[in-house]
Amino acid sequence: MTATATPRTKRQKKEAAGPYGNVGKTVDVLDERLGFAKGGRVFMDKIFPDHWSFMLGEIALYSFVVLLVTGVFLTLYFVPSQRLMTVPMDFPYKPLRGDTVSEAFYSTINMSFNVRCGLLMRQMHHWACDIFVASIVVHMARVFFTGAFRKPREANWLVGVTLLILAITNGFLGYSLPDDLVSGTGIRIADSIMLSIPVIGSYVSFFVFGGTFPGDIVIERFFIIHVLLVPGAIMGLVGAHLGLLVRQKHTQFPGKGRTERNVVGSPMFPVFIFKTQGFLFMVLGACALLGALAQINPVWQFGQYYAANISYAVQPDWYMGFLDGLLRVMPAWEFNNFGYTIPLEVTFPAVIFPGIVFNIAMAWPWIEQQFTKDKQMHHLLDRPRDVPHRTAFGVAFFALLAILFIASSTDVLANFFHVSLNFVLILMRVLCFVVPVIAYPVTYFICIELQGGGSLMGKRKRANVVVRTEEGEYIANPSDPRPGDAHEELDATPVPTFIIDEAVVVEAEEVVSEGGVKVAAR
Amino acid sequence: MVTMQKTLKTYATRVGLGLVGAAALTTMATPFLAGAAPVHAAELGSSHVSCPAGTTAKYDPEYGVPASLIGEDSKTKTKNAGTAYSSIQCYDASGQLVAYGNDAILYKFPASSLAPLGEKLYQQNCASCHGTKADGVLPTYSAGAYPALRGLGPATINFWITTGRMPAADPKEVQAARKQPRLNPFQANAIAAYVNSLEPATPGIPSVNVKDANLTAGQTLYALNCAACHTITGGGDALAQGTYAPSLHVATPTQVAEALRIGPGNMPVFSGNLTDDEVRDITAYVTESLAKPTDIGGVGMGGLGPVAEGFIALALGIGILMLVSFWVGERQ
Repeated sequence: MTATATPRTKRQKKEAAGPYGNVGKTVDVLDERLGFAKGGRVFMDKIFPDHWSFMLGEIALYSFVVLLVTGVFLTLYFVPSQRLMTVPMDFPYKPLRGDTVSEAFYSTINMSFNVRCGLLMRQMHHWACDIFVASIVVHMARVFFTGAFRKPREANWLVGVTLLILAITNGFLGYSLPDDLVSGTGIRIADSIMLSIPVIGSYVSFFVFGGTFPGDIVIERFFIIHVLLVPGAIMGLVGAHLGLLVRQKHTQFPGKGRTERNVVGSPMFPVFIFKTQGFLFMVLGACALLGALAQINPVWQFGQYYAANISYAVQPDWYMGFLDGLLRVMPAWEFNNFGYTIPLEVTFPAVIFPGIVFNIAMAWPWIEQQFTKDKQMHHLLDRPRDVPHRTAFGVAFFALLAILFIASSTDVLANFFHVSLNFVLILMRVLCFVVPVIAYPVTYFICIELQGGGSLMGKRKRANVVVRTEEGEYIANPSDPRPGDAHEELDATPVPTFIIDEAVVVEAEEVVSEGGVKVAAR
Repeated sequence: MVTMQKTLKTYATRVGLGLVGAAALTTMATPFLAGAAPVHAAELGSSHVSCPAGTTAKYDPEYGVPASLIGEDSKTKTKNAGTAYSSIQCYDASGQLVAYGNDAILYKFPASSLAPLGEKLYQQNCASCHGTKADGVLPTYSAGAYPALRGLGPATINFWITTGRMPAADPKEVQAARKQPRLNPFQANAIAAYVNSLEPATPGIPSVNVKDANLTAGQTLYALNCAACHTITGGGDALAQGTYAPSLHVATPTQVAEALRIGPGNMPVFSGNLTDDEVRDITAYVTESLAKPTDIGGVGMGGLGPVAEGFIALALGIGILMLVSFWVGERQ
C-alpha cells in the first residue's frame, strides 16, 4: 500500500485508510502515543467458552447495571426523611389527600404519580432487584453443580457468596425506604431480629435506630447504606470477581478439543462482545417490560407506616422468603432463665440458621475437599451426574430453602386452596424435614442412572426400524443419525483474515485453528 | 385544621387501641372517643339525610330514645355510633321509631307490615336450624349450636342473607361462605321485619351516604382497624383453624357498614370505637378504593404483594432470561 500517493477516488481513500478504515486510523493514532495495541489485541483475542449456562452470571451483571441507572434516577426525587408533612389536597390519589405522612413516603408516591417516568423507573428498579438476586442464585447453582468452585477458584467462590449476601442485604434496605405500611413491618421484624441476638441485641437495636424503634433516623441511615456503602462494595467485588475470572480463565465443559490446558470458545472480538452486548439489551428489555406491564409494590395502596398498624399477608421480597418462612414454621420456643429471655423462636430462624446457611456456602470448597481429598487444579467442569453426592447435597439444600420459601406464604396458600392455616403450617414443618431427606437419595439415584446414558446426551433420539426376517424374527435396526448428530470430523475453517494478519500471528503464537474453533493456551 | 383534628382523633384511636388490645376494644376505647367532635342536632340544618316519607323527624340534642330500645345499647352510650342514640330519629304516626342516624348513615327498621310475609319465609328457610321462634337451638339438641336470632337487630339478618351466607350451604362448615344469595333483598327485609317484631333491637339496616365520605380518613382507619385481618389491599386472608377474613372487593356499602356494626363471625363489633362518620369513611374507602384499586403500574396481580411479585420475578423474569441465554449460547 502506498501511503505517499495522494488518494483521489473514494476507493483509493478507503484503501489508504487501511483495513479498519477511519476507526483503524484513530486506533493507530492512539497506539502510537499510548501503546495499547498489544494489550488491546490480548483483550480482543480473549477466549470465552460458549455454553449457555456461562451467561447466567451476565444476567446478574446487567441487571446490576439497570439497578445503578434506575437507582440514580430515583435518588433525584427520593427524600430520605421521616419528618412528617401533609399531602397536598390536589394530589392525584384521592385517599391520601391531606394525609399526614413522612417525606420519604410522600416523595415515593410523588415520583410514582407526578414525575414523568418515575413509576416506570421505580418498578424497573424493583424488578431488576428481584432478577438480580435470582440470577445470582441461578449462577451460583451452576457454579456449584458443575464444580467450578474447585481449586484454583475458591477465592472467587467466596467473592460470589459475599456478593449474594450484599445483594440480599441491599434489597432489604431498599425495600425499607418508602416508609409504607409493608416496608415498616419489614423494619419492625428486622428490629425484633436484632433484639433477639444474645447479649448485644438491645445495643445493636439502639445503635441502628438511634434509640427505640421506630425512631426518626432509620430511613436516612438505610438510605446512605443502600445507595453508597453496599453498592460501592458490590461494585468493588464485581470488579474483583471479573478480574479473577480473566486472570484464572474461564472453566469449560469437557468436549472435543477441550483439555485442562486450553480454553475453547469464541474470541472477545468479533464474537463474544456482540453476543454479550445483545444479551445486555435483552436484560434491559426484560426489566423494562416487567416495569412497564407488571405492577410491583404499589405503596400508595398501603399508606404511611405507623407503628400501631399492621396488615395481614405481608411478605418480604422473594429472596428474604426463606427467613420469613422459617420464622413462621419455628415453634414458639422461648426460655426465661436467671432473669434473661432467650427468644429461640426468633434467634434460631433469623440469626443462627442464616449464619449456618451462609457459612456452609462459604466453606463449601473446603468441606468438599475434606471428602474428596482432591487437591488438583480443575479447569474442566463436572457434569452434575458424575458427582452424585455433591449434586444430591445441593438439591437437598435447595429443597430445604425452597420449602422455607414456600412456607413464607402459608396464609396465602391456605386462603387460595381453602384449607386450614394450621394444617398448612404443620405440613410445612413436616416438609422441612421430609423433603430434603427424600431429595438426597432420589437425586443420587437419578444421577447414577443418568451416568449410563451419557454419550447420547445432546443428540436427538434415533428411530428404530423394526424388520421382520423371513424366519419371522424381528430385528430392530437403529436408523441413520439425523443430520448434524453423527460424529463427524469438522473441516478446519480458516480464521478470518481481519483477525489474524501477519503482524499479529507472530505475537499471538498460541492462537491456532483446530477443528473450526479458536483455541487459546492457558 | 380539619387535618389536625383528624390526626388528633386518629392518634386518640391509636393510643386507645394500643393500650387496651383487641379484646376490649368495644367497651374500653369508648372514653377516648366519646368527646370527639359530636354532631349536635342544632348543626343539622343542612342535613342531606331525611327521614322516610310519612314519618316525623326529631332532632334531639339529648339523643333521648324510648327505654324499650335501649336494651344492650345502654352499655355504650357513644352518640352516633350505630345505636339509637343518634342525632336524627324518625317516628311514624303511632310513635314507633322507624329510622335513626345522622348525616353519615341512616339506620332503617324494615316496615312492620312485612312481618307476616317474613314469618312465612323464616319458617321455610331459617327455622330448621334457628328454631321456629328464632330463639336458637341448644347444643344438646343437635350437632352444633345455632344462635338465637331474637334481639340481634335487622342489620344482622340483612347482612347474613344478602351476602348469601344464609341459608348456609353446609350448616356444619367452619365459616359460612359468601355466595349468590338465595333470597332477594325484599325477602331479606321481610325476614328482618319478622325477627325484629319478636324482640325489637338495633342496629337497623344502614344506608351509607358515601358521597360525603373522607377517603383519607377511611384509608387511615382501614389500615388501623381492618388491615390486620382483611389485608391492606382488602383481598382477605386465612385465619386460624379454617376460618378466614373474606375478600372485601365485592361487598356493598350497606354490607360493609353492617359488618362493622354487628361483627359477623370472628369479626369484632366496632360499635363503641367507631362513629358513624368513621364507618362511612371506611365504607367509602373499601367500596371505592379497594374494590377498584388504582393500578397505574400495570397488572395489579390481585393485591397479593410480594408472593405474586416473587412468582413473576422467578417464573417470568429470570426464567425468560435463562431461555434467552439458552437461545444465545451453545448447548454442548
